Amino acid sequence: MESAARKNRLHIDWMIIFATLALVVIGLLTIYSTGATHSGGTQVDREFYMQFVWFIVGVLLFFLTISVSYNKYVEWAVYLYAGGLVLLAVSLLFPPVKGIRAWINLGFFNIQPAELMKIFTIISLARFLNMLGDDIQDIRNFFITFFILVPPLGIIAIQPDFGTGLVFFAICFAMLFIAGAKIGHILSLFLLGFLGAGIPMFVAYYKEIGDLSGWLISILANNAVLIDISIIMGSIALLAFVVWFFSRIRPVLKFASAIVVIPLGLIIAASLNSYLQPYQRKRIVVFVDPEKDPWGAGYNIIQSKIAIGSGGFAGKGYMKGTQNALDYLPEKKTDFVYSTLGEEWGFVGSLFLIMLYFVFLYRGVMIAYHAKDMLGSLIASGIVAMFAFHIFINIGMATGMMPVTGLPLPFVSYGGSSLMTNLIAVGLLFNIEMRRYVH
Amino acid sequence: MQKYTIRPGQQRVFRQRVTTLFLLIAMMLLMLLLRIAYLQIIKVGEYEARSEQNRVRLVPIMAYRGEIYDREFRQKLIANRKSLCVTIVPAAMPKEKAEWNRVVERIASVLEMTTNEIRKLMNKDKWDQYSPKLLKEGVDYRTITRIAENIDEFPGVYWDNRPIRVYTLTNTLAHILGYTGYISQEELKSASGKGYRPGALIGKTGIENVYDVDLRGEEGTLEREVNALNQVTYQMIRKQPVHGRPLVLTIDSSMQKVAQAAMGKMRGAVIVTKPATGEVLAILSNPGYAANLFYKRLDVEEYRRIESDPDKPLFNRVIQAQYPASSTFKLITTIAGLETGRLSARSSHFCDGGYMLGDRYFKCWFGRHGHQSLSDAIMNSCNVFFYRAGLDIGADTILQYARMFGFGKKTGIDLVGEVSGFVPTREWKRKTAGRPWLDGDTLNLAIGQGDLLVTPVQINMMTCAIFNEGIAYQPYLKKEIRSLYNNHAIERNEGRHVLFTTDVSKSTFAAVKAGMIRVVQGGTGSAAFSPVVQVAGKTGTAETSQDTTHAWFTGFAPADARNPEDVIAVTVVCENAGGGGAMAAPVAACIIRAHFENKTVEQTMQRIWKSFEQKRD
Repeated sequence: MESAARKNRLHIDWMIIFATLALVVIGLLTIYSTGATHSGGTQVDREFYMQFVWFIVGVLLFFLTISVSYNKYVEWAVYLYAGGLVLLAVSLLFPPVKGIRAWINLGFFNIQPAELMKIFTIISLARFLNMLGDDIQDIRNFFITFFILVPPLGIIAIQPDFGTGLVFFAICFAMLFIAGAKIGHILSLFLLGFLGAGIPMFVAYYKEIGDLSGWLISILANNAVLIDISIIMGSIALLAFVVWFFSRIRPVLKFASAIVVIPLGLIIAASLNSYLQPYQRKRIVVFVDPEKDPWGAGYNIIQSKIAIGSGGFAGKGYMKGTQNALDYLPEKKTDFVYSTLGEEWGFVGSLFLIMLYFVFLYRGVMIAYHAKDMLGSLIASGIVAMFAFHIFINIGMATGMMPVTGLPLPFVSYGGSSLMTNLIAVGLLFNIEMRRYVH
Repeated sequence: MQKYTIRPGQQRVFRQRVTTLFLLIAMMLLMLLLRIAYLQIIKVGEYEARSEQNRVRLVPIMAYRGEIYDREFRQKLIANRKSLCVTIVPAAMPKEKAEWNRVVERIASVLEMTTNEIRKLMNKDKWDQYSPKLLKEGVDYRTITRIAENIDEFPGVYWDNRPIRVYTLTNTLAHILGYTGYISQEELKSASGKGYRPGALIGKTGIENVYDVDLRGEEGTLEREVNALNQVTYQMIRKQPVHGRPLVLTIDSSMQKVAQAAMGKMRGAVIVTKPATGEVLAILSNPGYAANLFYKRLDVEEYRRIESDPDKPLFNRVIQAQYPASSTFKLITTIAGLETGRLSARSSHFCDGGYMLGDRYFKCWFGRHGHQSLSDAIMNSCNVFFYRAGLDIGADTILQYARMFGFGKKTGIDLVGEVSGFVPTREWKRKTAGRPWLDGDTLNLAIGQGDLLVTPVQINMMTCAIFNEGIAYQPYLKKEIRSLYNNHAIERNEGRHVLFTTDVSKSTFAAVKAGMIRVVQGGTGSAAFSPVVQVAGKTGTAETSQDTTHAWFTGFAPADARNPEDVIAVTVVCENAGGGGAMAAPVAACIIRAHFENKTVEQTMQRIWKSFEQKRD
């Protein structure tokens, strides 16, 4: 045990520590800057101190996390998962903040249980996938894995917090992929999502701008046509299944399973087509073209793009961003924190930020690669996927490449639950790295 | 617990998948970086501009318009006075309807206006939501302070100094000076490229309009930085306004006052010029209007009242009214006769009180004149003499000389709205009356009645041409523009722009002048007599469709001037006032005697009444 303990200390990932600290410091500096006013004075906002306090608490949680082997957490997975669900459910009892019931108000501090639930879900998925082993290649097990997502997603859908919901899918896909699920299954699911969600978005956009004259859009907007196509393709798939059932020729089965996804996707698309509310359609329109509603839903995206773009190569200088100081930026401490950073530090600062994330994610992937067991690899890859998805969606949203979904930028955005959860996640990565030789 | 004895990293599939995951992540980061580079490196110009557009509001600072002075640079005809106004920028108001309404209600109560009035003013030029809309002018400091102290409750509300124009000789010069107002969309279109912007002030009529470019100066620019709530965070003057320079007119303000006093309540026009240069010394259209009413630029009711007044105060009679020239035109008939040899100094006709043409009897204006030489006929304005002379000369020749002396054409005086009068022709007569030109028409023409119509300024130019013996200079009002800093003239108008020259001999002019002198010495224009200067003139009494006649007098003094620069040409017309000798000549006398003898209007008038009484006795 003595030598094991020494070994634990030997495997400290300095790179990931450096990247994490650098990102937290950047976050603190940017939050400080958002308190700048253009008349010269700077008020240090309460949020700056709070973020600092949470960072300290987060560091304690980090040490707490690494003090116990991750294998123990996997053993406790059921309790953690159940506890997280209870917290999520409790959050529904509190009054909504900006239309979302995602917070538990403790008076001095609001907890967002969905953040912690991401970690607990990763641990639970890791346990389940590790238990399955190679059986994950069975399509039934592939689907059963998604049932782990159903309870938290159900509550998150009630909240409702679309962006957080997507994170769970991203995590699940990444872990399935690492666990060795069949590529065909994953791609089919993507195709299903593409048809089922992509078509309604496409249709909603053109419906909202009131132009349904294109040939493709005229087909896709017509539910009757969609259902006709799915009936035809569904019959073909059914026929193929029957042929396979009697002949047992493998390629026929493959053809049948590949083709069955399309009618399923089209039926989902048709039902969504009629289900989408006008305000939801409007959001899609604004995502595609924010200038269509510059004072309403498009305002955030436009102002964020103006801030980032006007930063230019070298930026306007720390605390000198006009979009920031004159309050043109919405949510500039939380969801759009990158807009301030991009405005004040320019492309140089953005490049540095992306490099830090790259180092961080690279180390995360390496930890997954070198983990002593599949459990460690799965947890690490789930965490890496979570961070990567947050980064991609957040910066993509701030630069107008992704719809506005309200995901924080890891370590940088203001927010206690997010920062502390992220530090716990880093603790887990560290935990896996530290114990790669411990048996 | 351990299921695998070998590390996952030792399995090929696992390695491939982790590598794939890593590549996916790297691709995502690369996409972000490319997107950021696109915004920050390629599109930087566009977004920089939009960020500035967000932040900076440019507000014009009005320049003071140039003040307008009389010819001596002593009296301000138009002065500026500071005036605070409250404006509103619709684009800067709250987007939310309820909050928008609350702002309108608040501003209405502070300005003591109704919300409907405010809405109406805000809807003006709805296409332009970014220019400040004027809500109220002449707002006192206390009101401004109330707004300023609670500025958070008035998003979009601003105030600034918009100096107003104060007219000192308000009624008498209203037509000439004109007034200013906010630029209309049509004016904006027609003046494009001259630096006008929506919401700018522009001279609408008169001198304010003609010399707008000289007067308006250059607006300055105030740069305001505003935050997302449209609150001003700081402001600085980016460009100082350049105030308009003083404009000095040729108007002699004391003569102008005399002209007004002499005209009293009579409708009509007066114009006094210097024949030697074309300078306008006095110009009056009666009745005038209180130009000061127009600097309350929103007082529509008052404007309507003036506009619908039957005396037409907005009408500038000097250049816009067309009257029969009546007997003043006999001077042209005389010139035409002398030049063509149909008349000579020795010509004589007998006046038995009228002239029979076919079955129509053309009366003289005065019983019977008996034997009349040319000079007698001018002095007494004998119609019969000119009937006979006119038939001798012929209509074509008379009309030719009328055109030669500038009738039927605008003088081009630097005012807006001048009309050209009318000189008939044979073809015109045939076309409009459906009959050829008859001798009766010639008789009427010879004594200045009938179809020929003239403006007072044209009669004045004819008078100048007679004094100058064959040349008339274009009348003008702009004397010079002075520097704002040291009052030196930096642009001077010396005049002497030739309006027309005539092909008439000196002897003809000498004969006409001699006749005009006799008019004043003992003829119809005796009322214009001055014991100090020799006055030459001609009266006229124009028949109108009404019972009453228009009274004319035109003349110059001193007729024997050594220096032509000293001479003034006075033209007076009094609408429906009576005879030219009784009504118009006294007005001219007042002007001439005030100018050369410093007599007041009362003194001159008393003397004239006395002489009238003596004559009656």
